[in-house]
Amino acid sequence: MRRFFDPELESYRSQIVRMLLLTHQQLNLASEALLEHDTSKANKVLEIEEEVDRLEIEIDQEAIRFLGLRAPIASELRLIMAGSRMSHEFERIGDEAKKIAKRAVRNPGSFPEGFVNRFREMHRVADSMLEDLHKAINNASESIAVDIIKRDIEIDLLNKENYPLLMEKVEQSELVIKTGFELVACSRAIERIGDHAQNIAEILIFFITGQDIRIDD
Amino acid sequence: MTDPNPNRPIPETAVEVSSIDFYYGKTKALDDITLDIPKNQITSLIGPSGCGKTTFIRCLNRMNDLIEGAQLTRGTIRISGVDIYDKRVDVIELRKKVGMVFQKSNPFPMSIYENIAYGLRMQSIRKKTIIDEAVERSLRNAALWNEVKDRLHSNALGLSGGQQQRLCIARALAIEPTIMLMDEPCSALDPIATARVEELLFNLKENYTIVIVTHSMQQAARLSDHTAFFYLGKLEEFGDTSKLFMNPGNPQTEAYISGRFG
Repeated sequence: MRRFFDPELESYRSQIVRMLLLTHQQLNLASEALLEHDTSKANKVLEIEEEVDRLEIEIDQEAIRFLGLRAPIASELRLIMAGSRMSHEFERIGDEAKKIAKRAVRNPGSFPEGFVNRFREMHRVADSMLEDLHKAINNASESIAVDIIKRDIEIDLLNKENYPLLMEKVEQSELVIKTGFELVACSRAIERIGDHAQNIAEILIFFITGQDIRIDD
Repeated sequence: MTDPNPNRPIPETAVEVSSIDFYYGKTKALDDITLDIPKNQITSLIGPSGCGKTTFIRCLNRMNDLIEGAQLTRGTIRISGVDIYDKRVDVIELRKKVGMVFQKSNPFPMSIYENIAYGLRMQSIRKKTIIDEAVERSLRNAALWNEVKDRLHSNALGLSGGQQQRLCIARALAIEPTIMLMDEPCSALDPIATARVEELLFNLKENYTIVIVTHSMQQAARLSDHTAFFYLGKLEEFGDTSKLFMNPGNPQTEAYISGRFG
C-alpha cells in the first residue's frame, strides 16, 4: 500500500542523490582546476559549495521532522538515519574539493611530474568511487558498496608516496617550500575524499542490510 | 525548527469555539476552551482519559444534548458563522453537516448497501438511481468500493473490523457533511487497517474538515495538521502538529507526548 508520506521519502532520497552528484562534480572540477591551472573551474567548485551546504541543512531538518512526525520504522528509519549521516560525509567531500580549488588558484606554476601522475591516479580512483556510489545507491547494491570500500587503500598508498616525493623536490630546490606544502595538502584532500566515500559506502551497507560494518574495522 | 513553507496561506476556519464551559450536572468537564478548527485540515485532539477531548468533540454536533444534565453553560461554537447552540438551530440538520464516526465500528445489522442507503431514506430520498449513485460514491470515497462492490447485499457484520469502520465512514459521507468528527476511529484496528483509514482521512481532507480524537501519539503526529492537547478539561496547547511534537511550548504537553506524564 502506498502511504501519503511516501513522496516525502522519495524527495529525501533525491536530495541525497543530488548531494552526491554535486560533490562528485566538485571533485572533478577541483582536480582539473589544479592540474590544468584553470581558475574558472576552481571558482565553479566554490559556487557549488553553497548548494551543498544548503542541502546538508535541509536533509538534517527533514530527517528530524520525519523522525518526529512520521515515526519511521525498519527500512524507512534506516533511510532517514543513513541519509542524515551521508549528507555530512558529502558536505565534507565538498569541503575537501574546495581546499584543492583554492590551492589551484594560489599555485599557478608547473608541478613535479611524479606528483601530477600520482594525483591523477588518486583522482581517478576517487572519481570511480563516487561514480559507483551512484550505482550502489540507485540499485541498493551491497556488492558495489563493498567494492568501493576496498578501493580506498589505493588512494591512501598513493598519498603516502606523495609526501616524500614532494619533500625531496623541496630539498633539491626544485619546488618552493610553500608550493610543496600546498600540494601535500591537495594530495591529503583527495585522500580524505576517499575516506568519506568509504564512509558513505559503509552507511549504504547499513541502509541495505541493517548491519553496521564499522564494528569489523 | 523553521516553517518549511513560511508563505503558506492561513487556512480558513471551519469551527470557531469561543470561551466554552461545559458541565455534566455539577461537574465541570470543559473549562474556558477557545480554538479555531481550520477548514479542510485534520485536527487531532490528544490528552489523557477524562481530559475532556471526547466531551469537546461531542459538543461540535451537540451529541451531548442526549445526556441528561449535560449542558454548555458559557461561550459559543460557530460553524459557518452560525451559533450551533442557538435555539433556532435544527439539531438534525446540524448533525447532517457534522458527521461522526465512533471508536467501535457500529454498522447496522443489514446489508452493506442498506447501511449507506439508510441515511438517505431518512431524508426521504427514494429514487433508486440517486441512492445507487450515493452508495457507490460514498464507498469509493471511503476506499471500500473495490473490496465490496460484488457483495453489496451481504450483511455488513460479515466485514472485517477495518472494513466495518470504513463502512461507517462511508455511511457518514453519504449524508454529505462538511465536517467529520472521529472519536478514536482506529483504536480497535490492526496496523494495516489503521494505515488504510489514515490514508483515507488524508485524502478526505481535500473536501472535508476532520477532527480526530486519538490516544496514538504517532497517529496524531503522522496524520494531523494541527493538534490540541487537553488536560483536566482545559486546552493546554493548540497549534501546528510539527511545532507541538517537535518543540512543544508547554512542559505538560511534552510530558504527555513523551509518555512521562504523572
